This record gives sequence, structure tokens and C-alpha cells, in this order.
Amino acid sequence: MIGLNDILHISVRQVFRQRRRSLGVLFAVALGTSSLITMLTLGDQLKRDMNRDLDLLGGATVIVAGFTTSTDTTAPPQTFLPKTVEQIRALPGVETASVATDHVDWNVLFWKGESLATPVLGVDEHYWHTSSMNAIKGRLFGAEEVANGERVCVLGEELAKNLYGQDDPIGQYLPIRTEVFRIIGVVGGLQVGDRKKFALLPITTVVRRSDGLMRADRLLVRCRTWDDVLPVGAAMPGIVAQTQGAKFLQIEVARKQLERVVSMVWWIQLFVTISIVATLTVGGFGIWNGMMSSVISRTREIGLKKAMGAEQRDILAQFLCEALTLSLSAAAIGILMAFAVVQAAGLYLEAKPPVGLFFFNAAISFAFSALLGVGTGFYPAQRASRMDAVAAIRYE
Amino acid sequence: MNNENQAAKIVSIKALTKTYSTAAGNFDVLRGVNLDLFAGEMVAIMGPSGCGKSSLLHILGLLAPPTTGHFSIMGYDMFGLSEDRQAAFRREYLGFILQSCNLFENSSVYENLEYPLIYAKMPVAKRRHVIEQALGRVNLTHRIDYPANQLSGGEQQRVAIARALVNHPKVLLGDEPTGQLDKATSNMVMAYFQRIVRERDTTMLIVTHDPAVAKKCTRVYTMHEGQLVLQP
Repeated sequence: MIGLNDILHISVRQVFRQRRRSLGVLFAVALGTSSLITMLTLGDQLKRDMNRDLDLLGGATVIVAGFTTSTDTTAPPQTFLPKTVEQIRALPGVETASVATDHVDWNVLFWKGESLATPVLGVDEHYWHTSSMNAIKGRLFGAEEVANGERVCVLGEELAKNLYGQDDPIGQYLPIRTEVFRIIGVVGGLQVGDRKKFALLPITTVVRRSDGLMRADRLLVRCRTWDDVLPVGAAMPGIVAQTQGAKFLQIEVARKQLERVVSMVWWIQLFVTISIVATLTVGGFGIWNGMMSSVISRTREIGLKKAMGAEQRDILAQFLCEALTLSLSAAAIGILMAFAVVQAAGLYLEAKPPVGLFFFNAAISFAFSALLGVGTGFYPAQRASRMDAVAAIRYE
Repeated sequence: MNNENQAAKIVSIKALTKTYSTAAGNFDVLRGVNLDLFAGEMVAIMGPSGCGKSSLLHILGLLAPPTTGHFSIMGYDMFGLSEDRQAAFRREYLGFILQSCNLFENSSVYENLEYPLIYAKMPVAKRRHVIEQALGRVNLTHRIDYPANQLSGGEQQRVAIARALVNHPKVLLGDEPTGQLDKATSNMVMAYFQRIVRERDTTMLIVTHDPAVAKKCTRVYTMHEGQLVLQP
């Protein structure tokens, strides 16, 4: 058989010279390849972003756990122990977990001649991330302030406006019952919900000063994606039972919301996948069709090559290599297109695209395109190689 | 048979038959052909269309199998050779020149001549020199990088001759090699053939309709009812 260098050289030259004929096929395979790589590379990132966006509206990936002791008056007060929270936080699929007080202290504040309801909630430093809250002014309290039980507080946007109007509340002191708390930040935005009327204090500070009603009896668990919600929700009772007993444990999962979201995304993924498969199928059929027409239009050339001493496998290798050159060229273009799309999407999503994953997916797509080229090019190549030399030479 | 006694016998055919099976029944196109070809001679076969002269040429070129008979080239029995061995034999000993559309489309003259060398596994570094030599024999060295389909008909046929010669074959087979050329170009091409046969001691068999072409050959046969008849 002729050398690999010669086969490659002849095939690349042939494909290049017939490039106009192959443009449609190149475009279809390149489009399919780039879509495949983009979906595989950015799928996880998009899913996370979608989770975050949907979460702002409905909290579909947040599991809320608490205790129901109201029916049993003899039951001791229940709280989530730190080791329970740590073990839940370590579960696969958990992004973060936060403890808060279930009970809201409805403090009434006499402020500028008026009485103003100021609901107070105790939360830990993970609460902000778990509830997707950001400071619109000042800052949010952290681990050290929670651990030390400091007298600081973060106000909801509406409460801050009611108390201070246009004035800056940061650094002011808010009287709650008999003590004053330094205001260090204000939270706001869509994700804050009814918490915009609340004063949020470090949970340790609240628990120490309460009469026992305020305790760490509410656990909020944010999962990485909606796929993680049900497994995490199922694993939580086991951990609570093991660390402290789960007799009164109650877990709330937004199951219906979740099912709708998962169903919607499943359909979107299905349509995207079908589109990619259809594009690649069209591309593959294009290669097959192009190679078949090439074999027919080059019948005399095949006969002449056989007359020159080409063996069957030389002809087979040449046509197969041409199909492969076509599919791999398309894959290379597709990879470049995917790279551009991934970079642009990274800028748009404000996320760094996973480079390693991109190259892994590019390699997979390249291998798939090679398979596509061989699969669709084999029959035309075999037909060319088995052509009768005399009939081929006489072909007009 | 003027040089039978001096020159080496290159091709030997004895009692060769070829039968085609068609829907209308079997058709015997060759009915016991006998022919010996010697080094340095040019033999013509004439006859009407469909008489079997091209079939004989294809059998000699190992492109189609005979039905029965004995057939050897350079002393090697050609019956029972595998397809790969036949291809190897074509690469090493045979050269073809066809009537028209001989050259590969969208290829340069160099690329057309390169194919036989590729199949013969000649290293890339040696190819250009060999191709230049072959083109030199037909006075076309200056056209080496020219697109083949932009050459005149005569030039194209000369390129086809150079391509058939590039591997220094022992036997040249021409199927109406001047069929589509004007008289002047035809004479020029025949002159090339005569020179090549003389200088390189090559054996050439030409199938032709043209008596003027046949006249330039050493021997002339006519195919009659599936057998070769030597013309005086």
C-alpha cells in the first residue's frame, strides 16, 4: 500500500480543490460539532446560572428543615447542633448550609414619635449565600462577628428606609429591646423577599439574649443544582438522626416547583440534543452523498489509477482519507467556533469557562467526527476500490 | 517477425479465448489468439469496433482475465495471479496510453506523472528528477507545473505518454492513442513512440483504426472472427 504521507497529501489536496462542493457539508458538521462542544462545556455553568436565576424567584434548590414540637408539649427544645450542620454541609451536592432562628422576635420600636414593628431574625454568616442576599449598602456580618456574638445588625432595605429615609444608616445604632446594635449593612433586591422589613442579627447574639424562644432551629440548605435537591433531602434525616435524633425533624422541599423546572429543562435539553444530532446526521449524510458523487464523477480516474498499478486498498485508503479529511476539517472549524462561543458566553455569564473541560470535549468531538468520516466514507470508498478497472476506464 | 531471432520474447499468448456472458447468451470475442511480442518492436492490431481488439489489450494489461489459454509476460505466467500481484506487475512492467481524457482533472502535469511513482513507492525526493526526465522525452519539461486541463490535445497526449513511461515499463499498451488527434499531432506522437521503442528497447502494442498509424508499426495484425491475422 502507498505511504501514509502520500495518502494524506493527495486527500487534503483533493478536498481543498473541491472545497466549493464541500462547503455545505463542512458547515453542517462544524455547526454540529461546535454546538456539541458548547453544550458539553457550558451545560453545567448554564444549569448553575439557571438554578441561581430560578432560585431568586422561587428558591427551588433550597431545602428548609426545622422541628415540629408544637404537638408534643413535653418535648425538649430542638436545635441543629454544629456537627449536624457540618455533616450536612459536607454532603455531595450541597453548596452551603445556614442555621437561623425559626421564631421571629416582633420587636416594637418607638421611633420619631411612632411605633414601628421591627421583626428580628438571628442568622449565621452562611445565611447570605444560602439565601442569595447581597449588601446594597455597607457589608454583611461574618464568621468572627457571629462567633463573638457581637452587637451588629443588617437591615432589610424597607426597614432602613422607614427608619432613616434618605440618610445613610451605616454606623447608626438601632435600639432593640434594652440594647443598641450597630448597623453595618443593608440588604435589598428581588431575592430578599419579605426580609426587606427585617433586622438580621448574628444568631449567637440573638440566642444569648432571648428567653429561649430564639434558637438555632431552622436549617437552610442550598444545593448546587436541582438534580441534587432530592438526594440531599433524602440524606438529611439520616445525618440528623445519627448526630442528635430526628424525631421531630421536618424537611420542606419545593417538590412541585422542582419537578416543573426539571421537566422544563429536560425538554429543552432534549430539543437541543435532537438539533445537534440532526445537524450531525445531515453533515454525515452530506459526506456520504458527496463521496458517492465524487466516486461516480471520478470513475475514469479510478480506472486509470488501477491501470497504473494502484491496489484496491490504495483506492479505498484514498477515498476514506478524503472523507476523514472532510469531517476532521469540519471538526477543526467547529472547535474554533465553539471556542469563540464559549469565550463569549463566559463574558456574558461573567464566568470563567472551564478550559480543561473544553479541550476534553473538543477531543471527544474530534474523535466523534473521525468516526463520522470513516462511517460515512467507508461505503463510497469500498465501492470505488471494487470498481471494475475496464468498465471504469471506458466510463464516459 | 523480423526480429524474432535476435530480440527477447516479452509477451507470449497461446490459444487465448475470452467469452462474455450476456442476457442473449455467451459471446466469444477471442477464439484462440496466438501472439508473441519482442523487445524493441511496435505491433498494431486493427479491426472494426467490437471485434475484440480492446479486450485483448485489457487482458494483456491485466485489467481483465481471459477465459482460457496460456499467457505470460517476461516469462511469468499471468494465470492465477492475485489482484495485488497483478497490480504490482502493472506498476513494474506495463504502461497504458488511452485514447482521450487520459489526465486527471484539477491536477498539474507534475501531479499526473507523480501517481505511478507514488504507487511504486518511490521516495518524494527522487520524484521530481524522474518526472523531469520523462517529460524531457516528450519535450514538455517546461510544462511541469502547468494545469493539465489547460494543455492542448497534443500536449495532453504527450503528457499521457510521459506518464506511461515514467516507471520505465517493458510493455506499452496503446488503445487508440492517436484517435482524437489531428494528422500532424498524430504523426508527432507516433514519432515519439518509435523513438521510445527504439531507444529503450520497449515492446509496444497499439490498437488502432488508423491505417497510417498501423503503417508505422513493425507488424500489423487484423482481428478477424476472434483471431489475429498477420497483414503482409
